Formats: sequence, C-alpha cells, structure tokens
Amino acid sequence: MRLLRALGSFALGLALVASGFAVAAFLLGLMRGEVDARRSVAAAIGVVVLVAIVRFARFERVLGGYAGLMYVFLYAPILVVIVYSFNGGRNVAVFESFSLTWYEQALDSEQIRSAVGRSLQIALASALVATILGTAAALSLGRLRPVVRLPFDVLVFLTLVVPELVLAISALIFFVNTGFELGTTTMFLGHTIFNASLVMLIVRARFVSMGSTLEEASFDLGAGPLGTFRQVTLPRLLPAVLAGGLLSFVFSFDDVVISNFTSGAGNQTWPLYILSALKFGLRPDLNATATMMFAVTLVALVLVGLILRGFGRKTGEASVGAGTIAG
Amino acid sequence: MCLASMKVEAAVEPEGARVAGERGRGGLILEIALAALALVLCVGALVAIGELGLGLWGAALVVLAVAAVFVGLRWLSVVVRGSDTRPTYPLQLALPSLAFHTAFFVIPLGFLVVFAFGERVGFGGVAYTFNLGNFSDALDRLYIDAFLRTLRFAFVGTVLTVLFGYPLAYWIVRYASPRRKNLFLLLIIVPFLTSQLIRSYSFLIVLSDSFYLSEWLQKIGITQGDLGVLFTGTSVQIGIVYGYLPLLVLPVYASLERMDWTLVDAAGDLGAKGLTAFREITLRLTMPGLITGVLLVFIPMMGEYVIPLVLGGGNIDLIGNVIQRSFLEQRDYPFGAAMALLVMSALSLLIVVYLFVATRTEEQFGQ
Repeated sequence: MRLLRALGSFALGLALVASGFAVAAFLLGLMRGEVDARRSVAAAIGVVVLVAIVRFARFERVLGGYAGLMYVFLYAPILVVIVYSFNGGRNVAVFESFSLTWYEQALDSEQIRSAVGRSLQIALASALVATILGTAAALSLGRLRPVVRLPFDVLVFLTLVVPELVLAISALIFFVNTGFELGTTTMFLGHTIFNASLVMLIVRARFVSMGSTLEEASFDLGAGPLGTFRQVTLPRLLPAVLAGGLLSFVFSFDDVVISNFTSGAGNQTWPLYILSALKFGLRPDLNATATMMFAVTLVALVLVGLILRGFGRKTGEASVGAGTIAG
Repeated sequence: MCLASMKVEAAVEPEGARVAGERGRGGLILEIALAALALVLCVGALVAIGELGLGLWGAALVVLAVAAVFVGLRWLSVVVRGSDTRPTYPLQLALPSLAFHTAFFVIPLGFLVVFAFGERVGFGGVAYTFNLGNFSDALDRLYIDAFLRTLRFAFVGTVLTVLFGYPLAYWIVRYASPRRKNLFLLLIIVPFLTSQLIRSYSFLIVLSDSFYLSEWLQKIGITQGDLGVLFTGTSVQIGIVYGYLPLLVLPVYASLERMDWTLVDAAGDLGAKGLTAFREITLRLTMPGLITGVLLVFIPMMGEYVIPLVLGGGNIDLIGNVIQRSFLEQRDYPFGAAMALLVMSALSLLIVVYLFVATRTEEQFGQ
C-alpha cells in the first residue's frame, strides 16, 4: 500500500516535470519564432495537466514525487556507470553480458596501478598535514577576539571562495618560477591549501559550540595547558578532526583541477588518468576504474558517517554529521 | 597582514597582562618580534621546498616542522613567563597555517598579478615588464563571446539548480519522516563528495544515442530520431546542473531546518495560506541560505572547464577552457593570467551587484 502511494506520488512528480518541460519548450520555441504543431499540442496538454495537478493533487504528494525524481536524477547516472562496469561487451552504451573482464584489465594495467598509488599517497599526505594545520588554527582562532581574527578569516574565506581554476593557475605560475619540480609534491601542496581551510572551518565550528567551561574546570583542577588539551579538548574535538581529515582525503583523492595544472608530465593521478583517457573517447575499462574510485570515496564517507554517528549517540546530539558537513 | 594583526593583539593585550601581573610590555614585544621572525623564516623555508627537491613526504615533513617551530615558540614563552591561569589557545597556533597560506596562496596570487603584466618570452617564459597588451588581447571579441557564453551557462545552471534544489530541500525538511530525514540528507551529501569527473562522464553513457534513454524517448514519441544531445550545449548544461545541485541543496536545507515553522501556521491562522505564506514568510526567512547556495554554485560554474571538456567534446568553449588552454597547451602564462584576472574582476562585480540587490529585496521583505 505504501509502495503504491509512493509510486503514485512519483508519477505525479513525473507528470509535473514533463508538463512543465513541454510548456517551457513551447515558450522557448515561441521566443525564437519556431512554432510547430507537435510542440503546441504538447504544451496544451501540459497546461491541462499542470492545472489538474494544482487543482486536485495534494501538495505534499506532488512535492514528494518531485523530490523522488531529483533523487533519481542524482543517482541514476552513477548507477549506470557501476552497472556498465560489469558489462562484458565492447560497446560502451549497450549492456551485453555480466563479466569482470574490465576489472581484471584495469587492475593489470601498470599505468592505473601507479596512478592509484600516487593518488593515495598525495591524499594521505594532504589529509595528514591539512588536519594538523587546520586543527591548530581552529584552536587558536576559535577563541580570539574578532578584530584579531578578521584577517585570518578573510584569508581562509578567500581560499574557499576563489574559483579552483584561479587557485590552480596561480599555484602553477608560482611553482614553475620558484624551482619546484611539478609532480606529487606540488599536487600535495596545492590540495592542502584548500583542505587546511576546510578542516579549520569544520573543527572551529565544533570548538566554538563546545564552550570553555570544561577546560576551565580542568585548569582549576591543576592540569596544565598540554594536559587539558590532551585530556579534555582533544577527545571532544576528535570527531570533527577526523571528519575534517577524511573529507580532506576525499577532496584530494577526487581532485581534477589543481592536479591537472600542477602535475607536470607523466605524473598522472587516478582522476587525471580518467580525464586523459576520455580525450580518446569512452572505453569500457574506464567504468571499472571509475567504480573502484567511487568505492574508495564511499569507504571514506562511510567512515565519516560512523564516526559522527557514534559521537552523536554518545552525546545525544542529533544530526551532528549533517550539521558538520552542511556547515 | 600578520604583523598588523599581531599589533592589534598587542594593543588589546596589556589589560590581560596586568591581570597576569608578571607579563611586562618588553617581554610581549619580544615575543611578537620572535613570532614575526619565525613566520618570515618559515615562509622562506616553505618556498625553498622546491629548490631542495625533497619529494612528497619530505615536503610534508617540512610543513609539519613549521608547525613544530610555532608550538616550540609557544612552549618557550610558557617556560619564560609561566603558564596561563585560564585556558587560552595562543595566536601562535594559527601561524603554521598562516605561513602555509602565505607561501602557497597569497604569494602565488601575487605572481599571478605580476605575470598578467608581463610579456611572453618563448614557450612558458616571461619577461617582467609593465605591459597592458595581455589585457587588450584578452578583450578580443572571441573571448568576450566565450565569457558571455559562460555567463549564460552559469545563469541558466543556477536558475535550474534553484528550481530543482529548493523544492527538494523543502520536502526533506517539511515532509520526510523525522526518522529518515538524516538519511535523505546523506543521500544529497554522498554525490557531492564523490568524484565530479566520474559523475560528469556518466552522462557520456546516459545521453549516448545508443543508450536506452534515447530509445525510450523515441518510443514514447517525445523525440524523433536519435537523442543527439551529447557534445552539444545541452549536454554541458545538464552536466553543470547535475554537478552543482547538491551544493545548492545543503545551505538551503540548513536555513529551512533552522526556520521557525510555527510562523507559517500563524500566518495561516491570519489568513495567509499556501503561496502567500510561502512568499511572505518561508522564502523571506530562507533568503540567506538561498543567497549562499546561489553563490556557492554560481562562482565555480563560472570557472568550470572540466565538464565542457568531457561533455562538450570540444564544441563548447567556456572561459575556463580558454584559460586552461593558454596555460597547459599554449604555455602563454601572461595571457592566461590576464584573462583570469579579468574574469575574477567581472565575477566580483557581479557578486557585489547580486548581493546588493538580494539583500535589498530581503530588507524590503522584512518590513
């Protein structure tokens, strides 16, 4: 019964979007002066359906169907890639038979293996360094006076707001002219600019909301600054610190733009391998490669989820995870 | 910048110093001077990583050593001066990150500006001059067209993500069962954090003429003949909307979640139902979240070059592609830098105008 209701909502959402699309297509055609019979009929039906939906359907159900449609839009393409990674045929767009050939081929490729190794190394180093820098900065900035904090805030905000492309090209110019050899090192440094700011924001949000009462108590009981940090502050901050670190890992692991500019010749990371392979068209083994990459990211995300959830349960705070990531 | 902020701290600190009693002005100045010196040295060390040729983990160690320097500095001041009686985390802890961002963000931006005025020499070389030629080259009709095209793609993309994303967030907050709310939110976050590249290239399959979608659409009679949208503006536009949808939903969700829904009920009791209540209350109260979301998707859309590269098949040239090519293919750094600066200035101007208009309407709403 519930399933039937959900399907009904979904159909409503579909009808809404389809008729909206028909009307929009008609109006666009009208603006360009191309009116044909097909479009006009479709638009007329669309208007009728829209009116009927607004008049008779319950708002909640239409909206639910619309939301469901959006989830399909978000996930269908990813699922297609995953399903097609098991496709035995050579044709990339027609599913023929189930097979693991492309996985074998991808895992056998020396090029892919070295790209994966490079990606993992860079992501690990970047996550580690960004976590340490970001957490230290968050501790300091979380309790500073606004006047002192402002320049730091502006800097952090800028690293997050400036288009990644600009970050990448200025890093490239800088590296080339200060004796850096483009490669894993430069990619690591490039990723860490963004990641350190990200960790800073996540940890600081948690740190500020924690308040300082427990730390003051710890001081009054005679624990020094280091003891207080180790025994009181860090344990309570740990979920945010770990979440920040894992998100940094994910961002660095998936990064295309900064890597593309600062990799130099022959230092492909995993995403760069996919990007360069795509220049010669889609190949079936890319789906297998992509699915494996997707899996690594997903494992990291599940870890974040588990950490935040465990923490949320312990302290009884609902939706810590969502709040942490959504800012 | 750091020095300025340290001075500010110096200006506000004496009050606390008197309370502590043993912290003289001279000691404080010495401490600040020491921190500033360390900062300069550390930035130097970071920039020198390149010359040293340390490799990935060597570079990571140097960065961590920078952090250690400042922790050591703090420890020194505690030893000299005695520990604080209240839990404070000193400014020194923000300095490693400041050194890092100075070395690899602020200084590179400086390089970008200097290069924009430079002159190209050979392949990838530059002569440091004051030359406005790059800017006049960049203002060519061809590139202005590319910029306007990018603006159109970003504008349509932003409008569509709002149309798709706002109702979605609204549904999760208002109608999803409370137990499943976090799950639905998580389902938005996961695509946002998975590889943008894979998510864009998935449309190479989905929109392909030989895929089932094309077949089905023909069968129901929506299209005649093959779908034929791959490697056109349409596929790029779809890819852009798809890529940035989650980024819009998250801030809108946050602002809807924080909203006080009893206000809507109150409005209903007073006669404002449905659309009126939505326009007068919900939209007004979630405007900040919507503005954030729009900026979060619009800015990166203006710099996007990967999606047109993958889904445009070389037919769609956005301004990001022009910049990317001038750096990675033509190696004309000064031209690319000038172009990037122009785009950045135009973008900032747009954002300022947008924020002005958006906050003004918000204020009007608020009366």
